[in-house]
Amino acid sequence: MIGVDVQSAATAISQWGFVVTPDQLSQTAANIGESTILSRAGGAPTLAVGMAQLLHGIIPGEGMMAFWYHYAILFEALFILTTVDAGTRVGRFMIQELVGLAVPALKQTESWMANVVGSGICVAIWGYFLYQGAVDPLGGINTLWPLFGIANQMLAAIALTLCLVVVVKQKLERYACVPGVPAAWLVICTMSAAWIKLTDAKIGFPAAAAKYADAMAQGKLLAPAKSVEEMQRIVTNNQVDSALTALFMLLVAATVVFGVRAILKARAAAQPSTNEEPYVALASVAS
Amino acid sequence: MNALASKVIWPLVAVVGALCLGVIALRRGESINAIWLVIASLCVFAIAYRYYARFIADKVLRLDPTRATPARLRNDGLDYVPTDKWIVYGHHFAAIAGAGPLVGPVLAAQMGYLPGTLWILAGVVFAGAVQDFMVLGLSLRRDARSLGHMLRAELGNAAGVTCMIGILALMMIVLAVLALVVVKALAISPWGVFTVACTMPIAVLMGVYLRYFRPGRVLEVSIIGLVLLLVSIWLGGKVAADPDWARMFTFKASELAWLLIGYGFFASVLPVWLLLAPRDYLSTFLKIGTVVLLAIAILFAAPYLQMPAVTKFIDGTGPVFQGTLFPFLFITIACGAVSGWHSMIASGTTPKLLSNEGEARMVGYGGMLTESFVAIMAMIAASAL
Repeated sequence: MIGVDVQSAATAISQWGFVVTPDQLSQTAANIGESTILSRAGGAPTLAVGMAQLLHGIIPGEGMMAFWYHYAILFEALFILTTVDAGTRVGRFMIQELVGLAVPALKQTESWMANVVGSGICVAIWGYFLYQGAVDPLGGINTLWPLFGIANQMLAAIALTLCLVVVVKQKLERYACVPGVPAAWLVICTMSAAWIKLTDAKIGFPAAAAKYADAMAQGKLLAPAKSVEEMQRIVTNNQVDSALTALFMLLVAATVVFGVRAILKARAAAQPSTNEEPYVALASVAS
Repeated sequence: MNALASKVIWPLVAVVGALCLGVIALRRGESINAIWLVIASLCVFAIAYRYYARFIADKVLRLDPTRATPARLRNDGLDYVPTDKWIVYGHHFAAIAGAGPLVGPVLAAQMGYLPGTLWILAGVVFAGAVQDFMVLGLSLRRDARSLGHMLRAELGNAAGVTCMIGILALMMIVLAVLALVVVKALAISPWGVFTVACTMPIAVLMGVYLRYFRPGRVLEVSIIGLVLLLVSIWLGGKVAADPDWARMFTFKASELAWLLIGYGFFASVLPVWLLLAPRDYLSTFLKIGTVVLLAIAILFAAPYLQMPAVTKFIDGTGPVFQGTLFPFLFITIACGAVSGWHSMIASGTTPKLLSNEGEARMVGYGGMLTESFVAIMAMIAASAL
């Protein structure tokens, strides 16, 4: 992080080329009714301060800065919560489809039993990581946090690959660029980012694990760890992240290989070959 | 009117947009006004929606408004429910717009506003909105099946099952991360907890109202919900100011985690029209309202971007996150440009709610453009600091 007190933070920020004084940092924190704005994780408070300053421009006044800051935090929380609830439902659908391969009864989305079981499994998995992360700053989802960005973009690469395959299967190759170009771009970006995270000597996961392991062997403590046990946890976390990054790389590579195979097969076929449901006229369905 | 629009208005939009982009990209040495950024992005979005999204709808996806959607065919009152297009739009936008459009640009602002802004604009038009829209279109034609299922059907069994397991793992990480951000934001914040809790009974009221009392009266129920929401924001301030009430709504992170898990379970189990869709629709008001407020603030204050266009941190030594411009800028700004998460929603709840294929462009492509606009606002808020 950038610094623990206003003085050192201001010095650090000035070195990066921005003009900030310790007074300004303290003043901003006081204005929004918080004790400090330094080193708060996640970027949400940073944005809230920026938003508060903008909104303060419309409706200024004493104490309004604190109001706008809390409004902005509320806004962000609400924003994200709607993603979590819809995501849980979508996760439930996926679990029902996946487990439904083995137990067909669980596939029925109309069945209350299947619904409750699927939802239960879904919240149990993310809930476990969430709870561990909430009570332990080095555990649970905090272990997996560094994978978030790469994992999310890998999903996009997979989704766009599917779109490309379907477009080719429908014999619409002339429009293949529409999903094909972004798919290729995302595969390149995520694979190189994952590769850097695996091999780079400064920001790579294995490098970080080795750095902390070395320090531990010499009996030293490195921030943010405060005990030998926490040092060990950081080493383990980085090892888990390395393994998962490699696994996700394999997943993307496999999708690309399967995708190319499906495209070649589709090109050889004379007829469109997708799995669309048959056409039913809207007018024929009672509303 | 249409002929006039295509001959005069659209070229005008294109020229204005190009002009603003030119100013942003070429002006050097002095700080730049945020209004250029707002106008440039609005022009880009308008042109992309009018031309590129329509091209995809007509030529690539071949959407057909006369074709029955899965919601119409199944209509089970639980998951598959034909829903008004504005509510679907609200639900979809609320579900895709998580932490990403807010946090990503703020983190990426350390490299200066220019790289991030250009990636957001190019990314959303050619990658992000295309992904959301196309996945939605494909799912609509396949009984509203999920991404994993479609992969299995189109790429073969082995590929499909591998991908389904991988996607599930990726998704659980995403969900837990997002939930943790909520927990961190709401921990020891009685105001936030109170207002967020209020959205749940309000949503149930809206759902019941729209289904049983006054079916089809979307405007009416919207106004009721909006008024109640504003009242709950105001009440939240009162609750936070009163020590006794504040204590009731003050939770530690671990307690909030349990509450969130419980809420997630009910939002997933209960019929979609009762809690999930109206609550998402309701928060969309607050979201879009705040974004419009921010846009007004930016136009009103016309702040100059304090951040340089490009900082020295593109070499990968930045303080907020480490890594070089390529590839890490494109990983850091996900939502707002392109985000895999959206394909989950576009092949999850949204295709089960859409009542007409013709509405997919507005929901899929339009929803993503709206989110991208939020990202631009966040970028400005972070750079104007």
